[in-house]
Amino acid sequence: METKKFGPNKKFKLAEPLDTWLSYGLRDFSVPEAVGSSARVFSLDFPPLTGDFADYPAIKIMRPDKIDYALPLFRSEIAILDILQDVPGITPMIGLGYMQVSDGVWPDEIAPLTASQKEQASASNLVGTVDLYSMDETHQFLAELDTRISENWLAFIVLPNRWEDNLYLRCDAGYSRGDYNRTLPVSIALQAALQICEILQVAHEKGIVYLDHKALHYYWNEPRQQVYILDWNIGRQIKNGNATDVYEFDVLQFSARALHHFMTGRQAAGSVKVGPNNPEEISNAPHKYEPIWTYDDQKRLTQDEMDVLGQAIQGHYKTPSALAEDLQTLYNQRQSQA
Amino acid sequence: MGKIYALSTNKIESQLAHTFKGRSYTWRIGEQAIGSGDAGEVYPVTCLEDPSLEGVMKKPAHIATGGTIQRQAGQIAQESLALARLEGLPQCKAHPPRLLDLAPEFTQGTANFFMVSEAAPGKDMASLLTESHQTGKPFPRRVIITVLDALFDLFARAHRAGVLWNDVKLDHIYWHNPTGQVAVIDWGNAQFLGQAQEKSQRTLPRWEDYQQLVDTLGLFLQQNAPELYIDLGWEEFQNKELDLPQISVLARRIAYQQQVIGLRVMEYQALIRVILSAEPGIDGLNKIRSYQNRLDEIGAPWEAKVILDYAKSLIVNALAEGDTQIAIKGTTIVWDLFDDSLDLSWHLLREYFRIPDLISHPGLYELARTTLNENWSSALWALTTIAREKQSPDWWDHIMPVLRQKAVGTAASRPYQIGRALHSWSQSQKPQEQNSPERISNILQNWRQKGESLEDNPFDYHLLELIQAEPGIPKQILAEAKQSFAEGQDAVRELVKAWHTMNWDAFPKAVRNLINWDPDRWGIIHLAESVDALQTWINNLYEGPSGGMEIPSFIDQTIENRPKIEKVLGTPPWMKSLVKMLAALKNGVPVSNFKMEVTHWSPWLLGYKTVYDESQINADQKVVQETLAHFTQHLKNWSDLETGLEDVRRDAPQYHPACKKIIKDFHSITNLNLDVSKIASECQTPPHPVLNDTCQVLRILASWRCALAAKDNPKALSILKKANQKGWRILNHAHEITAEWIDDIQPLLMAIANQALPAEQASLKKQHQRLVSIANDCHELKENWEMIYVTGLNAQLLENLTKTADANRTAFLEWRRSFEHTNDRTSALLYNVDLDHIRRISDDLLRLSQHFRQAQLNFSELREGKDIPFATTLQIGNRLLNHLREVEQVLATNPEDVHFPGWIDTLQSIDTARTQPERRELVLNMSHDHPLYAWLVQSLLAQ
Repeated sequence: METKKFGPNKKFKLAEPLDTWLSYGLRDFSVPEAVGSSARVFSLDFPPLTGDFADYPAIKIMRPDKIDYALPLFRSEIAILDILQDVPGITPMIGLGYMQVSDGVWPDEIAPLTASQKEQASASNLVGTVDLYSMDETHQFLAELDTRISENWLAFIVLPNRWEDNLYLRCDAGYSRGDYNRTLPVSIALQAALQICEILQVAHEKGIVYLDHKALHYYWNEPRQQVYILDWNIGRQIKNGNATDVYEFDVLQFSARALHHFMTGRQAAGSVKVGPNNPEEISNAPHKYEPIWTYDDQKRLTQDEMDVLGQAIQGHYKTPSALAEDLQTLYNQRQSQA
Repeated sequence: MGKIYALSTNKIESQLAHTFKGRSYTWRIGEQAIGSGDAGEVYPVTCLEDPSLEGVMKKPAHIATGGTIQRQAGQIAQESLALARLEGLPQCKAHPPRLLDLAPEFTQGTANFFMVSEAAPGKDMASLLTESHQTGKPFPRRVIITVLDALFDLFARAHRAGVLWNDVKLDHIYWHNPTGQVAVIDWGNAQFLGQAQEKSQRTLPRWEDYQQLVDTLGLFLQQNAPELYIDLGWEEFQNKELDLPQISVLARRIAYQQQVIGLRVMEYQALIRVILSAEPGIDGLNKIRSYQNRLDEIGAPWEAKVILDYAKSLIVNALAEGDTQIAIKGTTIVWDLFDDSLDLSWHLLREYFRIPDLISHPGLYELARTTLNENWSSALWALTTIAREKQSPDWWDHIMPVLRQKAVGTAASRPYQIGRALHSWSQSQKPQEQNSPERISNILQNWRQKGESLEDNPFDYHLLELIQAEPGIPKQILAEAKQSFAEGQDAVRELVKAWHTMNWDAFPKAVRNLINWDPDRWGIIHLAESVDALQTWINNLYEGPSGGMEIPSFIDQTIENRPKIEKVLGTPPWMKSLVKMLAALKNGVPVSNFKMEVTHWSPWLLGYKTVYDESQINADQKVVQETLAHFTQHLKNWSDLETGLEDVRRDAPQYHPACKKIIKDFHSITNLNLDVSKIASECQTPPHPVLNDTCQVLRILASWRCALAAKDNPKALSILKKANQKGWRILNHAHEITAEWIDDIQPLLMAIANQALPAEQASLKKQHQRLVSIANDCHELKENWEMIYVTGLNAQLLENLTKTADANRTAFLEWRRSFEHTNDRTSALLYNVDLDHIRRISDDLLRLSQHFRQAQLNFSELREGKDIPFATTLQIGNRLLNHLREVEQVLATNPEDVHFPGWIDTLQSIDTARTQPERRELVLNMSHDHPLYAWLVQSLLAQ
């Protein structure tokens, strides 16, 4: 652990917010529903953690006004990321620590899309102290968590900043102005879904469920044709042995919220909407969704695709790999048609 | 005067400037050239002496050097000679333009020389090609093949006249779609056969035109009609020096393809008509789409309206049955077929099907049906009902205004819109007490909910008060508000009038008018529901207590449950009288004190002294008994039921509600959607001993319906047989029809389904004689079909099979129609009980008819296609066998009778053979009973 000062003239500086806007292609969008319920996310200017191409990482800091709510979520996320650190497609933790703000005001949740908004939204005026832990010190960090919080420290995690296309912007009928046929072709939707299923399968095998399957949490790297996932704070580790229901529920939530969104431009009717969701909202979500196919769905999807998606949102698939198998068949069909 | 003269002179001068004197006529030319190029300029012209004579004038370019002018004038002269010699070739399939006039001789070789010829009708092929690329639609095969055929004819005739066109280009070939006429322009490069050419020109061979055609159109065909390119074997002719035999082969192939395309157009149109004549189904619509794609490729016309009607019935029926997905699928196909040419109702339907809220709502059927029928007022009502349930859905503001505009016929502002305009204006004003934005905002927020409880009148428009009280409101808002609220007052007046006169029939229209005026006031729907509830309440009062409820409790319950809509609509005299009567009866006032009111509102009470006195009076009076006996007789004879009921109203009014219900039950016993248990329970306790028999008959009929619903026709018949009630026409008729269905119709249907010979039946109705002949024909068709296995394929046999299959399909459809349009509800009921079976038979007959037709077409293509490439004929053969395989699937009852799949495999192996010897080997070794054996051997030998 090393202690550092942070602030405008320090080596460790907070910068623009990353949780109020998203990008797709060369366009940035203000996305109010991207703001998290337990944390704020900013760009971090700290050379040792800056990438090879001067890409600043993201720092996810506990909301100072929601400490009690955020504490278990942070604990859970850090523990999960520690276990899944090397899984492809996961946005890994590259640092973590505690912070105490001695001066400055937390900025409002504003998308920095103009110069004045950039200034208003920036956290660069925050001044204080950070205790930065290396990845090897995760267990020590977790051991100190309760004490530190009681001493008015805020926990934070440093993650690579996701620059890729956010899949929410590419698939949502609202953001794509109904043009998701072009912005997210079905073949890419299937490919991304397949990769997510693979990530989920690995997570389940390690006793972890994700649960917070909003399209907003998935990014698509076009050159590498690879999906990336972030934000595991609503996910949890299953420690009580046989918990088939929870794993099945994870697959169902993925199907109703993310897969349905990718395929049709909207989530399944009745599923938890995209926004600052809390764990209760998700655990109280229905365990079955009725398929409703619109005119555009019938034009965009084949009967087989509608059948698989319909079964998925009705809880037919018990494991991510079972769903992946059928998604693979659909993907192959698309490819052969192409 | 001088000014007028000057003007006229100018006009004359300007006219003269555009006037050209030819050898025969004077021509006025258009302002703009319609073409210009290396050969000069082309203008539209009209003959001054005969304005009906129009044409095009070709003259040297007006900006050109002396040498160019001379060359162009020379070319124009050459063209005029060619056109003069051809004289429009009136008998030819393609026409060069007729020469109409020439410039005076002295202008020859100068800039003033010109030629006037007919204008070519239609569009040139190059423009058509560009259009086809722009619209993404295939270039029509019919056009290509007709043009090719016409060009061959043109070349033959022009060469006979000694003229070689020598300028084959897509830009020079015109196609006129309405008449199918082909015209060829630009004969400036023409050469005269047998005539010495100028030194600079090469003397071309007679087949130069053909050579140019093969080279010019080769690439065009390859890119735009690749299968035609292959079918015509175009490759064999390209990049080769042509000779007469080759030209003759190509001409024959083109003529053959033209015949084939003509046949296909007829065939696909006939196939579409066959589908359209059957019951609408998604498979049918899919088939229409596939046939339509083929017709589009060919470029043939098709019947859009009939197809749209078919699709409309399919979609409405699917929604009525709750199958939304079929309805949406159908709509996607309609859009594939018609795209943007569809009218507003289809655009709206597509929008509905984009909204999950609407798709999952039971009101979708009503909304879609009324929209497709362009009943805009009802559609808006249906949409508002759904929106009210969903509470401020995001789709409301983009769909509702369209429906409202169609419903009211104008785009006049809605009161809510006026409120919003006022709100925006008030925000821009200094704060004042009257028009404070908060107050308007509050009104707007409560707009939709206003009237949702009857405590809150939906007709209270505080906005109007606010507008009237505020002097500074902009004139435009004021004018809109005045006009709009005047319309609103009319609508409210109409509604109140219907309420006061108790004119229930006028109510739906009145409330719809209100919603048309202010669709955002959803409380109006609540009001309409309250009026419906009141009607039900009045009806219940009229019918009296049911399920053993005691009269005092019934009266108490009635008083307690009265929908209180007077707060909104006021208390009319009839309501006052009704409320007074109920209150008095509840207090034990004798019924006779309110005889008139009771007779009107609850005649069943006339049998009692007071509501607390359970013993009926007058029940055994002679007149009551006679009236009810008379009523029973009417029912028994099934005649003058209304008279019987009217007699009851007059002479035994206390039994009128019960008798009315009995008649209703008798009428509904043959309804397709019937709640049998409700009828069975209603007739359990006869209201009077004289009506015992009537109720017993009703119970028997209910049991008969139950047996039919369970598809147990014999049980249904035995129930009727056991009935002791004699002389009841309705029972006798049900018995007769059920027996007829079991004994006559079902065996015939079975025979048709199995293509078996029907059993002899002594007496059959004329209507069912048709089924016997269909069954006989189906059997004959199967016997003829089996000849294919013995004698192989021949044209006569296929033609007979096609005719028989088609006749069977049509005859069966007619037989079905006789039931679908029958007035005999019992027959219609039994028909519907067996409808699944009947539909299966119809589908089989349709399949037979379609596939025999297609097979016949393929067979005639095979027979005619002597000159076409072998690979193409193999494909035709393959299609032929595939159609016959479909037929076999219907007709073959045993697996050992199935041969076509094996024969198809054999043909495919020949098709995929790598070398000619291998192919030859396969043909020679194939089984001799293969239907194409003889043809294949013959084709190979010919090769």
